[in-house]
Amino acid sequence: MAMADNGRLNDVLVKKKSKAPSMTVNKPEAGEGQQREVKSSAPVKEKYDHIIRYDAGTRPATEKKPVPKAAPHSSGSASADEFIEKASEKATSIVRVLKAPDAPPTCCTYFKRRGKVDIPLLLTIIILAVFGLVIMSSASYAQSLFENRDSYDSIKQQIYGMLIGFGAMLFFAFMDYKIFITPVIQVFRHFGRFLKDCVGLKKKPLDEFKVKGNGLNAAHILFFIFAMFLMILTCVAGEEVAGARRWITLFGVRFQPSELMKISLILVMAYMLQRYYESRKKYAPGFARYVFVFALCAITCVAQRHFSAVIIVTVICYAMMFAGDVSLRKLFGLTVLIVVAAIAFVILFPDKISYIVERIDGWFAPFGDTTDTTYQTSQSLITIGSGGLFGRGLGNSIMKYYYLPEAQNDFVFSIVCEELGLVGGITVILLFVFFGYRGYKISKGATDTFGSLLALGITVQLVLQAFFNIGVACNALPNTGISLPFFSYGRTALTIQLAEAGILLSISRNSET
Amino acid sequence: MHGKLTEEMKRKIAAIGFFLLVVMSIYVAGFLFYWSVIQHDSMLTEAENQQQREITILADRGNIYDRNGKVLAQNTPAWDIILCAGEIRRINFDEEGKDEERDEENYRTERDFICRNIADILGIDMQTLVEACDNYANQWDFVAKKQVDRETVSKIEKFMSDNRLSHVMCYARENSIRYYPNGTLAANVLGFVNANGGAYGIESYYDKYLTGVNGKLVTTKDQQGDDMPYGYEMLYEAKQGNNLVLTIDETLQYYLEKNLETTVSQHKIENRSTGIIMNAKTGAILAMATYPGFNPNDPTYIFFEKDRYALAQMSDDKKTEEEIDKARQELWGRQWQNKAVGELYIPGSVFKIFTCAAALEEEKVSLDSSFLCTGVAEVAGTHIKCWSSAGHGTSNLTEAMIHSCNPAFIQIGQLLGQDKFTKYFEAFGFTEKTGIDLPGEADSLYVPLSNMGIVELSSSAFGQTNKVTPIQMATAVCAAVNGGKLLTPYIVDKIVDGNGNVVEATETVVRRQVISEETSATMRKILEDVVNYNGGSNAYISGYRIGGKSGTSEKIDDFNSGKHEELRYVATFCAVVPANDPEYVMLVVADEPTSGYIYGSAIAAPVVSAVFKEGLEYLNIFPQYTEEELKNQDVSVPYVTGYNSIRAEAMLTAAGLQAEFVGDVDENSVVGGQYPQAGTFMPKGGKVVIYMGEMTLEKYELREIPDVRGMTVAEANKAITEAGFNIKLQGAFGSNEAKAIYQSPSPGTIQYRGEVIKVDFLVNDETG
Repeated sequence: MAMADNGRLNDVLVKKKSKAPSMTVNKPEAGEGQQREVKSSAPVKEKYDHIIRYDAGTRPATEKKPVPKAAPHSSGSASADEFIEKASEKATSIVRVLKAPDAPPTCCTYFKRRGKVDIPLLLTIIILAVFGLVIMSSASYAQSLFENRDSYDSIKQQIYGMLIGFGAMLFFAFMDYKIFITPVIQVFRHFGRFLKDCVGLKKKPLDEFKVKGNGLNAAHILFFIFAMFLMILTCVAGEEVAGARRWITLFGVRFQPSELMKISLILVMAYMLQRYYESRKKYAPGFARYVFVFALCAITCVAQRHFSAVIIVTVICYAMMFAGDVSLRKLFGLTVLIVVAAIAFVILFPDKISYIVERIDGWFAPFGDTTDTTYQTSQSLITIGSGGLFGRGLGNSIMKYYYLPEAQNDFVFSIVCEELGLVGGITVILLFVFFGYRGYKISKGATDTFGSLLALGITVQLVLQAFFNIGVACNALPNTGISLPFFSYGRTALTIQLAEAGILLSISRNSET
Repeated sequence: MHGKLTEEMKRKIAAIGFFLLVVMSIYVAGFLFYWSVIQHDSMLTEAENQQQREITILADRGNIYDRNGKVLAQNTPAWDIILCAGEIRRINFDEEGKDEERDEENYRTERDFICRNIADILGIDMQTLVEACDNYANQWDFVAKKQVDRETVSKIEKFMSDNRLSHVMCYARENSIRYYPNGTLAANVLGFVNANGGAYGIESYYDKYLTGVNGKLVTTKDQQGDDMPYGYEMLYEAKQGNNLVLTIDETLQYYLEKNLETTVSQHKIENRSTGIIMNAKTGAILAMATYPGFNPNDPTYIFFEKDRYALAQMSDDKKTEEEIDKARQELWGRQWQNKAVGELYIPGSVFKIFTCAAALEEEKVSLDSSFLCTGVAEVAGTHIKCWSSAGHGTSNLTEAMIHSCNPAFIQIGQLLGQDKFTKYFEAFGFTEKTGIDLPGEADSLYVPLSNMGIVELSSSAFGQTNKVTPIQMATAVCAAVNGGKLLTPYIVDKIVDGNGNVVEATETVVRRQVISEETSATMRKILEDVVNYNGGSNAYISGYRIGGKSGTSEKIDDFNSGKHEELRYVATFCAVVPANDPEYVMLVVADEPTSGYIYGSAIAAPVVSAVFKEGLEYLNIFPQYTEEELKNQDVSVPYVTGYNSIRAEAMLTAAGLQAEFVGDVDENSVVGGQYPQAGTFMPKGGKVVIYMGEMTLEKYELREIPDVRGMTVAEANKAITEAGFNIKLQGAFGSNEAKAIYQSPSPGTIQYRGEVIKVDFLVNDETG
């Protein structure tokens, strides 16, 4: 409808002017703001004709409707839906007229401006989260009952996390993902403007999100610094469990800062890979920048004795750098560097890696030392094996009664297999595969490198964690402490994962999928 | 906002996606498939092993009853103490394993504390418990001690609760112990029960029937051993073992054992004695005893005093532990063995029954055949002596049997010949096991046809060569007198399940017809004549028709092998009753009497007689006296006190008694007292002492009992009558050759005048 509609738009606009007051009554708030905007900028209408053309030209011919049909509020009767659809269509047309460098759009228009989210991905995320919640409620039943005298204790916590997570997901899905690389000041201005719009105060329009300068004034870098700070804080003041410090409690929230670190790393890497794309062929400062960021993350993880996170971080960085056109030679050089560092570490702290050797031994003989080192793995295999093809039935897990350690955390997948059998397990794998497939599609189809690499990083992180977790559960990989995204118990982790999914959805709106 | 994706970047992203999604998912899914489908069964078993707690419900062992339903073996409750070694370890180990050293320390302290105290209470070695704890993986539940009593269980429970220890760590599991209410009664038949189940006897032979099937209660438990909210519970009920109803009659068994015991002590039987009472028509064993036996409630206690003493002597003699242990094992083996089926003996003259029956059946001899005995027979240059060195002269078949004449039977044997002798030896079942349902039946030792020369034939003919078991003898005797049918003896009448349904019932099995009914009838006649010879042998009981044959065999093999310095004997007697239509056959074997008496008729026949005297009426076989026997019946002394002398005498005479008056007999005086008292049974023709006038206890006259032992019947009668007593004749008093061997009350004691003195007579030779 893009070009054809443009001709009619002027007429519509003129008509709208006279009708405007009556239309404000039953409209969504976004439309209200736009309405006012239209009135104020009516005289300059003709001036923006070329903008419309420009706008239409930048969009692919196959572009869907600029405004998502299914607005959050549209759930009334058929006539109401129709009305709202019509109204928002009209309003959007106006907005698109207004969107020009001379008269930049408001943040409200910005929210609405882009394409639809990737519905299959959204559905996948919702299914994963709900499925995860159901399984988690079964898996955590016994422990909650015995330790907190309330079998719903864990699941309540998880539901809070999930609600916050969905909130974050919606927020980031509506937000332009470039918010992370826009100077913070500008972001605040947008929000301020948005709030003012909402309460009906007129203000001069703002520029759209723009990356300015070296990007050090943007959110991602502040976020990265914050994550690094937490990581170091955890190394020093974290909660010690079996010699590792991975958890910290701040303001009553207990979480693993490495979760935050991962997404902040992805943001920074994606930004750098785009920003310094031209200098990627130089070792310094081009490639060295990446290595520096990677090293910071890896070293803090090692300091926490969180080797599984090191692996995740490494794979994410390699995948992003590889996709970001960093030459294979440099990546190989980095590999050599990592190997040297690892050898040095082994020589310097031989006692710190003893458990890694144990884990690998246990990998080859999962029933070798069932009372100690392979206890978890063997119990997980028994759990999976006792489910068989179709499982014991939802909620009927027996192994969750303290046989399987960490039943609602690292080994929640085993419970899936025990209760729903191989069928359930394969379903979970397929859900993650589909999630990943959509993620890579979005990454491939993203309009800019930043979005693409950001999508890639997030997809790699979540899918890799899922496969690592499942792999550990069925002894395809040595035992590491990686949780299953969307399934494992952990409010903060779930919130962050859903927020990441939100970013992915946000990218999907600009992506040719 | 520059930086469009290059095509190369897109390809790289696709490559990463492919690797991560396709390769990883297939890799992971492959493992998942392997574990959840291929390993499903073994993992499920593993899961069940750790999820299920199995509580064994022990099945009750079946009871053993005698044929009247009296309990011979039953169960009484007891408890096994279980030490849950795994629990003691688990409880002390933190799941996180934060501080293993500290956990290990705690565990050791608690383990030692618990083990020390429990070992103290149970009286066992602490070290075994400690080892069980350390081996917890193999012995999660360790049976610390089996079959303890209620009191010990209370002590354990008190200890656990006093120290606030979980009852999961150590608990009592109900079990039961085998209890034999009659103690030693029929011990060698019953056997006993040890940790592995039935040992010896019926307990062993019928172990699989007696042992029930243990049940179990399978419950799912969480890791901490608690029931799970949605767990399941499966109960496999225990199946109680089947009960056995024996053919043994507790009362007869008691009579048999009592009399065996008497004879063992009286005749100092060195190598145990055994007795069998068997139904001649069905093969059912009514009593089977070995004395000395053992107490199945405490089978390891050496029951025979002499053996016990010998064992104690060994430790005094500073023998090594090994030697003592070996000796003890030997003694155990011997005392637990059922002599009636498990030991061989040389049957001696009882065997003549079969030589005789065979010869009659083959018509080699008849009742009118005559045999000459000069006291010694020469066979192929070997001199075989008859027991009576004077010889028996010429005798017919019955007389040869009565006198148990060896030269006569050598002749009969030779008339039969090796072929026929061996044929009948086999036919009577001496070459095979009888098939009685008892374990450890011995194989007989015999001279086969191929090795049988004239000397072997001759000695075999009177039973002095082959070795057989008592049960073979009893079975063969049944065949000889019951019409010629060789039966399979049996001891379990029926197997009954817990609800009283008969699972299996034993039926009489006729193995073969050995001799004809006519021959059998002749044999019955001969055997009855043997017992009735000369007014009654030692086995004779007035009022009953008893047939029998004694036997005295030389344990020539033991003598030759140097086991004993002197020649020892086996004294046996086999009786059938009633002789005209035998219902019961009884065999008594006394192995190695050392009292000076050696003859079967002197040692074993009185046992038979005593058991029959008590037992036949119990078996509803009542005496039918001949007129002569009726004359000798005991009578009840009438109450004559208060009557005048004439009346009193008349009453006594009417009762068949005589009166002997003490004091003034005149018309005015009345009887003040009498002895024996009214109601006492005394022999006909006995004298009742009547005291006339006022009577006090002091006025009863006292006399000393004379010693009549060794006297003949007439001599003893005279001595006792002269001393002012009445004599009650017992045993073989009908025989002229009988001598008094025992009297009661004992000689030399002071008794009231008129007392009835019981005197036992015995014919001390091989006659009968």
